[in-house]
Amino acid sequence: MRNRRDCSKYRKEIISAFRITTVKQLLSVVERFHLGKVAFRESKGTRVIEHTFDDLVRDVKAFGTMLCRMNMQGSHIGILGENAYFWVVAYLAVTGIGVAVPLDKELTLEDLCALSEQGNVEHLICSAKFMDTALHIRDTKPSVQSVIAWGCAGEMPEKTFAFEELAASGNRLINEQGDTAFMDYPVQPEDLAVIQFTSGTTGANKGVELRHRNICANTYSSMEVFPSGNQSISLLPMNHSFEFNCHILPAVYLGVNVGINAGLKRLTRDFQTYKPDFAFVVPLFLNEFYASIWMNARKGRKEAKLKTALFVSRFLRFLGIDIRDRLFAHIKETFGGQLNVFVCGGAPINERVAKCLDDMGFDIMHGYGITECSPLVAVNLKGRGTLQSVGNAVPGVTIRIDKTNSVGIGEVMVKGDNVTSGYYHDEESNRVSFEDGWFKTGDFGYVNRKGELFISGRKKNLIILDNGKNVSPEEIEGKIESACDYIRDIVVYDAVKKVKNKKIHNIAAAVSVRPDSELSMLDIEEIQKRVAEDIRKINHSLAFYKRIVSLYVTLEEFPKNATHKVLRNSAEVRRGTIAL
Amino acid sequence: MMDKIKEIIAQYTEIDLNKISEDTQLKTDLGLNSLAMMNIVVELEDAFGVEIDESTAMEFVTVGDVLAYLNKNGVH
Repeated sequence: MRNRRDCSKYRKEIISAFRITTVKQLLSVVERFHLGKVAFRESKGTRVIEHTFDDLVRDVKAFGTMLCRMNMQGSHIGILGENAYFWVVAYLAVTGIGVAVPLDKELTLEDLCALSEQGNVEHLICSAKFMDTALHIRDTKPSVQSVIAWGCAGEMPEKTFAFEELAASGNRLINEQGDTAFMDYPVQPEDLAVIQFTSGTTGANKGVELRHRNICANTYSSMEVFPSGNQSISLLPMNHSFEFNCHILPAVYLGVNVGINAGLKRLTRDFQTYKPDFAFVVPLFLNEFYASIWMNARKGRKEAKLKTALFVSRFLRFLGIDIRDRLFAHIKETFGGQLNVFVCGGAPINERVAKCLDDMGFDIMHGYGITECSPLVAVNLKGRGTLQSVGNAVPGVTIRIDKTNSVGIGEVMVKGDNVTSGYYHDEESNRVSFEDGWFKTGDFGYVNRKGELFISGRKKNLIILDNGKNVSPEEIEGKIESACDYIRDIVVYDAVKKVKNKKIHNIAAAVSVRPDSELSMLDIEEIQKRVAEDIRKINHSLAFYKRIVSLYVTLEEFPKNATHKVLRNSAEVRRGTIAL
Repeated sequence: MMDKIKEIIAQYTEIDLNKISEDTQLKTDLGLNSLAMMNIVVELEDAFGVEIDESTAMEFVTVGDVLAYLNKNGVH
């Protein structure tokens, strides 16, 4: 593809040629447009293995054929493993005959057993690394009948099958016996495709039912705002809907070549190898990239030079001149040299970090989504609006703000084909989550005159004070984070104290200091003192009832879930605090 | 071997070689975030020709833990 215009024209042609209503139909799009091209690249030791779109179609059909031969039609099949080409093959084959249940590899064995039971998992597909875990689940949960593993060497245990062997057998059945069981198996748009578990930062994981119609609607919405470019890199876990539904599925539809990162250790090398045009990230990645860029500048004694370049970049862009590619070519080189866009979602963005990366030539597309919406709801397209906003609703999705307060803030409600029909076997959650056909996101926000959505916080995180005032912790966290560059994680929460049998609500903050910040060089008492001083200053800019009254400061990282969101209710966060 | 480990860490963190000992904590004393830690692991792998699994590396708390791991895996 020569340039952005060519890329956009080509994509329009592909999108308008089909209107898929099941995930399985994606194979027809690939067969029509992308055969011969590279679909995925992954590193195996020092080698890079390329999988073409031809391989993808062949492997999905072959593996799906064997799943049919093993009578797994209609089954719930768990997928557990690190990001890999076979993860994608497993997902596409399973959704072609049954229900995929992506499992979070970061969870404990106990949690994985519980989710397998909750999602009614009957079979498990896993990587070699998670073979023992899968076998334990199978042996503990009688409903789980068999395990299929990819990447295994040697003999397989009883009732356990090698993914590669099954695919080879399936291929033989297709080629030698003309077996069409997989492609003939009927799948309807209303059929359940995936049970997607929410990551749950404050409560139990819920199983969201995503039907083929929901996932396809999300694929089309995502493609409308998909960054231009022919190559991307997959960094986030594929079991997460943001990575799989907003990145991988649209990439397959549009024929984008995805390099699969083999873990943080290989991040720098993989950027060099895959030379991506864009990447999907959560804010934590942006924070780490930002910290690394400045650390490298300090190492090379080029901090002052970088600051000057940033000043020049901002000034010239103000005049309408954009030479970021030339000014920051050395930084771009560390990301492979072609990276232009970070699509960021999953948590609130640090505006200072995003602005700096934007000034260096990385456009930031900040999105808002929720698993129940498959997940995409709104995206702030690069170059438009403010980074504080998550942008306009994506095509096919309607938002409204319910029960607004005096300043227009209320609960964000969503409607569209992307919205789930409900939670799996959870009538209570279904009863409270929908109202007149609208999905209640549980997030508070407002919409400005341009229709841009601003998220002010999670409903369930809301602090309700004794005087009836409501405080959104995310609003205060954002203010503190923007003002203090040494913060790694911050959680503002309701510190309930019992005084004479009466509950008193106070606002507390827990701060984790970046170990690479200048502040971290001091001893902990001095650090606490300095952070307390800063918070006191910020308190003055806050309404009296929003002020933080107690503080906990640590150099330790707070516990996080698989998508790197802080577990807000963990004991490591809610510790004893110092009074301000 | 300890000298080489110290050299790699010092080069990356710009912290004085003499301030790094076996008891030095990677996160709290050296300020290594997870990404920085992985970059150092890659340098260590190249220098000593040994594979260090990502999940193993995330368990290292002190420089001594790195040294012990390398010793255990036949690097002397």
